[in-house]
Amino acid sequence: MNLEFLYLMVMLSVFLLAHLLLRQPVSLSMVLGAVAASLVSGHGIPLRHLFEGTFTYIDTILIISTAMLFMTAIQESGALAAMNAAIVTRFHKYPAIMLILLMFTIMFPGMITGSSTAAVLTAGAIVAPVLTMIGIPKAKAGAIIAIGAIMGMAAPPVNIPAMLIAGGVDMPYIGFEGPLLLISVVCAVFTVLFLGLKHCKKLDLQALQAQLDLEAGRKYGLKLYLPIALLALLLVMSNAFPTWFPQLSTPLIFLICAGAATLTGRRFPVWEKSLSAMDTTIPVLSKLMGVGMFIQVLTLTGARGWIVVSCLSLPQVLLYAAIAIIMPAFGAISSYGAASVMGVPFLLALLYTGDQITIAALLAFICCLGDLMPPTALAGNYSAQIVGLPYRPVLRQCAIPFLVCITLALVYLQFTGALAFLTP
Amino acid sequence: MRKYAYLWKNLLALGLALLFVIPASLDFLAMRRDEPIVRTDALSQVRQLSDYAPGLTGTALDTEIYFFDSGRPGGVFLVLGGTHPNESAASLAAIAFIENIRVQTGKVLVIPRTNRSAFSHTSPLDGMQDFFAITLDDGSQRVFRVGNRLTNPLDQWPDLPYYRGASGRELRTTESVEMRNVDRLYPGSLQGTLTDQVCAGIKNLIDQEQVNLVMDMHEGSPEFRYLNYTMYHERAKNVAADMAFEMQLAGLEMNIELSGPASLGLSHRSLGDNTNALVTLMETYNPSMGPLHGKMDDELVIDGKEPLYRQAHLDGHIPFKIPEEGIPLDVRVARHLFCLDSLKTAYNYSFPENPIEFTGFSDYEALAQAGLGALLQPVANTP
Repeated sequence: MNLEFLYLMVMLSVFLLAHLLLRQPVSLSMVLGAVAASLVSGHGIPLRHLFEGTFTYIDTILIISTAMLFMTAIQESGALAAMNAAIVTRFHKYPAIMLILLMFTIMFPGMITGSSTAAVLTAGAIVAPVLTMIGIPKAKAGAIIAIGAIMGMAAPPVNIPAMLIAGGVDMPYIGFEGPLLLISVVCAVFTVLFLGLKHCKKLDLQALQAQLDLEAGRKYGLKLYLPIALLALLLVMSNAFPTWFPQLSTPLIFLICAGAATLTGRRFPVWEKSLSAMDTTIPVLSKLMGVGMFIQVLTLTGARGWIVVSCLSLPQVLLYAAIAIIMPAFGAISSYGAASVMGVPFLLALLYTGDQITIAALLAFICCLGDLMPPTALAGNYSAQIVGLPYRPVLRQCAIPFLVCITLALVYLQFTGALAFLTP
Repeated sequence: MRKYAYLWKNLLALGLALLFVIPASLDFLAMRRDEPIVRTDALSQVRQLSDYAPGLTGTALDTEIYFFDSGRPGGVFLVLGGTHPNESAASLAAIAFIENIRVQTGKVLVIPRTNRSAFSHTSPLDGMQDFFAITLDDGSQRVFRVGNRLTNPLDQWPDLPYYRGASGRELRTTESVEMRNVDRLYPGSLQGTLTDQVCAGIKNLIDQEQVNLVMDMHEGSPEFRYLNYTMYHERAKNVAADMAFEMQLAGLEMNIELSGPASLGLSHRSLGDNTNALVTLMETYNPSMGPLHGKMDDELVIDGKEPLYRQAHLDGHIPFKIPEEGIPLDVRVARHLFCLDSLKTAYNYSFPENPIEFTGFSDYEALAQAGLGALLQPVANTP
């Protein structure tokens, strides 16, 4: 038996045993799986590797933490409630357009930051109450937010998996906009109409207004929206005009805007609310740390290489099946990890079947869908949390749009030559 | 009482964390110690890069420059090793070069740890070893660090979302980590980040010491399409072509590639554009650098044996020919050393009036056969 396969089995068995039988948290189970595989492979307890893996996602952890603080601030200030009231009042007569616009709103932060988590926690949280208010069931609203955030992560200008794949084969990240925009917009529009349209064909404005919180909007007026406008402004300006606009990192932008929200609306106990926001986010942060250790040891033991080489050894038809199944499944550990571990060799395997940029863009798109995969499922978990449901019912609603997205990506992969006009 | 229970719980958690943090910290700190390099009587002097870029003084990026001056007028050859420390053969070749060279005409300058800070950490998620040991012919061992391709973030932080190098290269989003990569920031800036200052220091060194010829030694992962290639600046075309011919005469595969406009910030492009030197960069194969590698151990790092990559090559996914027996560090270092010798020979064809002469590396077979066990000197010889 191949030794790397043995290490992989040990790792997965201990992880599942700890999580399912011993009821340990996912993060701790991942640490135990990593330590077990390391011991079996003769690396002992690799403290240096465990720490190195843990701190890999420190940037993402900072973004998630500060985004949570921002969301809490605009929720408590009354800005969210006021915004919901404004959207519903203005667009209730055109539900399809309203849904598509809401979907683009969900996507926007993901397009700028390249992170589905940022999209869920910002625009997703703003849009969620609107979706449920216009009659979309909570599980479907959660699914719309999760997939919308992932489409934002996949859409240009910033698609981090595409950058990782391109970097891995020495290809500049240029010309990806066309293919990425095409597939992400098509999938986003399909998802929101498929899940939402039948629930909001006949909207009764008066009934809806009874459910809306109009008080904050009346009392504070446009001032209430300043933190959200500031967030959009700082995100866009920092990324679009870095040569003359101050370069602010995403966590700092979230903190500045959270600070602004404490001054522009209802007063609230900042310290207590911040502590409670951090309490809710710590389980996801610890999962990210566990994921870092897990991938580090997966690489150290050679199991990562074995997985990839085994996939690449498959015949062409099975290769496409592996792309459709294994790349998103790897997202259970990390979608960025899927791009760097699986994306590069899959691109090499398909390099001469069509337009290289389009192939890389489509592989990156499939990697992004991994953010729906449990146990980490960053987009799915957070959107479920936002609509106040466990993850499972939200995941169930994601199934058909997810399959459509994957199928569309596979179809496009067959015709990358014909899609080459989308690239420069 | 409940308040104190909470305190004790937190203290216990802190104590448990320290139990793991302290030994892990010692592991990380060990990587900050430079390994010794043996100084022979051929060495003229050792200067610091901060002599050419004063802002580096006292920082983790200041690094040694080894001068070998024949005392006879001739050309000046600068050899860069350790630009990316994890490309182990390139770093070790520079050290073996220092410990064995005899210069007869002109001057040879060697920077073995071009990005010294990058030796002090490894790449997250890549599961790299921290050290590896080479057993010498006298039975003693020398230990070397694996390192990373980027400056340690503890020495230069944070990575900005956007950074524009002096060459005009713009680093954005995921590429912004490359602002810690020496080989993206040439010709460098004395007002820039520490990594940028290293590049500026090297440019100033080339200008002030009137360097004629530069070789920047590298390795690449098996997926990299330019393995066994030398990239050259357009002014170095004849020298690079003659060097490749010399190596092919010795039975070694060597291809050359003109440095393109997309390579702004890389040594072969931007040092070539901004100095009078002829600049080249060479790549060898390193299986421990790619994502497909198997278990990380000495067999992989030192013996260069990687069955998974071999399989991927046989399946047609990796164009580079990967032999079953692997390509050991000994062979890759020998290739680098022989390439330096061939480059010098090729330079002398084009510039006989300003020659560079040194000995010790003209027989590839002998170098590969001797291996690092013979090429590296026992550290007891260090003055």
